[in-house]
Amino acid sequence: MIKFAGLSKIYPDGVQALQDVNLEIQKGEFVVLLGSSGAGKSTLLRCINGLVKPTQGKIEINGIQIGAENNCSLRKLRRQVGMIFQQFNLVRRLRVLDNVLCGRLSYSPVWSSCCRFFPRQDVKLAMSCLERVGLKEKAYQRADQLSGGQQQRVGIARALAQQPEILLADEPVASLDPKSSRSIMETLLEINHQDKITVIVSLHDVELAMKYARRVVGICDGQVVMDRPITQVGEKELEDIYGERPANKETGGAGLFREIEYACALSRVN
Amino acid sequence: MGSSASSGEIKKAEPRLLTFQRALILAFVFGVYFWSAHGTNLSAGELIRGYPYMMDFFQRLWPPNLSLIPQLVRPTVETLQIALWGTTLAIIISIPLGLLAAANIAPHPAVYNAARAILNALRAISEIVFGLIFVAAVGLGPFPGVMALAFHSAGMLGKFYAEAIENVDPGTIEALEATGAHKLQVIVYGVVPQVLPEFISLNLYRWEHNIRAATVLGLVGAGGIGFELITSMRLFKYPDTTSILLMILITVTLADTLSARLRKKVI
Repeated sequence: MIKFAGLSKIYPDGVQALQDVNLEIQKGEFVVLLGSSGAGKSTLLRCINGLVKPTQGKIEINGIQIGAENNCSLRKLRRQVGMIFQQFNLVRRLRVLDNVLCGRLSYSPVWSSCCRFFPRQDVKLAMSCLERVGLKEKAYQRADQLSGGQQQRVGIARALAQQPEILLADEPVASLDPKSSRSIMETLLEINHQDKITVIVSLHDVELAMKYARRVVGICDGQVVMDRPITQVGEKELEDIYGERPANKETGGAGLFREIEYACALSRVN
Repeated sequence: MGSSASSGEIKKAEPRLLTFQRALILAFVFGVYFWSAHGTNLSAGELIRGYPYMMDFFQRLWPPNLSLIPQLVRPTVETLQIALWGTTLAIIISIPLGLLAAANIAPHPAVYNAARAILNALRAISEIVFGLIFVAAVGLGPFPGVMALAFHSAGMLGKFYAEAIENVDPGTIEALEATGAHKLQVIVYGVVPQVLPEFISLNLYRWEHNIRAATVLGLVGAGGIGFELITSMRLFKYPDTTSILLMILITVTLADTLSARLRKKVI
């Protein structure tokens, strides 16, 4: 379980990215953080793995408070938390397999891994992660030769190689075409189902959020303005049958969007 | 449309430098040039008056004493050896300095500033001055030449490495840090692959530069073909001087060509 209590972040340049965020995310949930760019979604995600240090408040993961640890325990925390990024952030000049092996770095002794040596079982695990995202045959190509959607799959494989408990995805499909976007979101959903990994995805696309989220947290100006489960399971099943979402997709998405806008406007007035 | 129109208005509204101010700036610049010419005894008349002596000198340089060439092979090779070791030691010194002088890798601003200061000091002292220092310290010969090149080049290379490292994609570094990787692992997997082509190219360029620098280092007694050059001039053996200059020209040209080709391959 991840628990945020009174979390605030003010960047050195004075930008208030988060403002008194209180949130609980249960193990195994699939949560979408929804909000426009600059709303504070990325900052919130980065607080979970310590890439951003909050100025106030605290975060607990499985009852253990994070934030006060030294480098060593921070690395141990980070390896339980996989992360994928909008720009994929692969090491472009390395092979795909090496990129996935980067997910094993925190488990490897520093000196041997710096000589590019990985235990055989790590290589095996990396290959199986690549197989899961359907890129096993690309293992020995350079990462920058792959398409955007494929690169994001490598990003997912790298995160899986960490064998994480939590997977953070920061605008994972914002740089991708609609087809790749859907397949990336489905992969994330599948990982959430099969591995019971908690998945937290930040999105700005309402339709995608409606389609894949079990729970949507609306964020605006660094505050949580909406938090509700998406309970139309029946619709999701219908979708499996028809391959498309039934007619009310327009109203559903637009309605949710309007609701966030409204909450946002309200919070600004207050 | 709106923005371009408004920027046009801003340009019009911008107060131009007054003619008087322009004249003042121009007068100041000219003043500095005249003052510097006076300070350096710049004089066309002297150059013209010296013309016969110059011609006399050139005439005595010709013809080159080509029979000296076989004797020049050893000092030329020594020059290449000085450049090789000078560059290699410089690379070894400047890798840690370059990493610490890169804002995105330095563990603390104090370390960053210290590394920058060391690199500035190394760059400020030229090869020749380092040569004088090391000749005084370890005596005449190629070894002080190696040390002189190593220290000055370390300053140059370290600065260029730091710049290359600072241009690395920060997203990649963030992603590796997010996996829980150790700082050293982040450097090996995130920084090294990204800067490697530039690193190789910089080193080749420095090696080529150091061959040129090593030919000069002999002037202060730090070995190589420059030592032969200064000796021949002191003994007024001008045909020997010409042969030595030819040898330097050939060596430097070959090294430039080779280095340019290798660099093209890397990039």
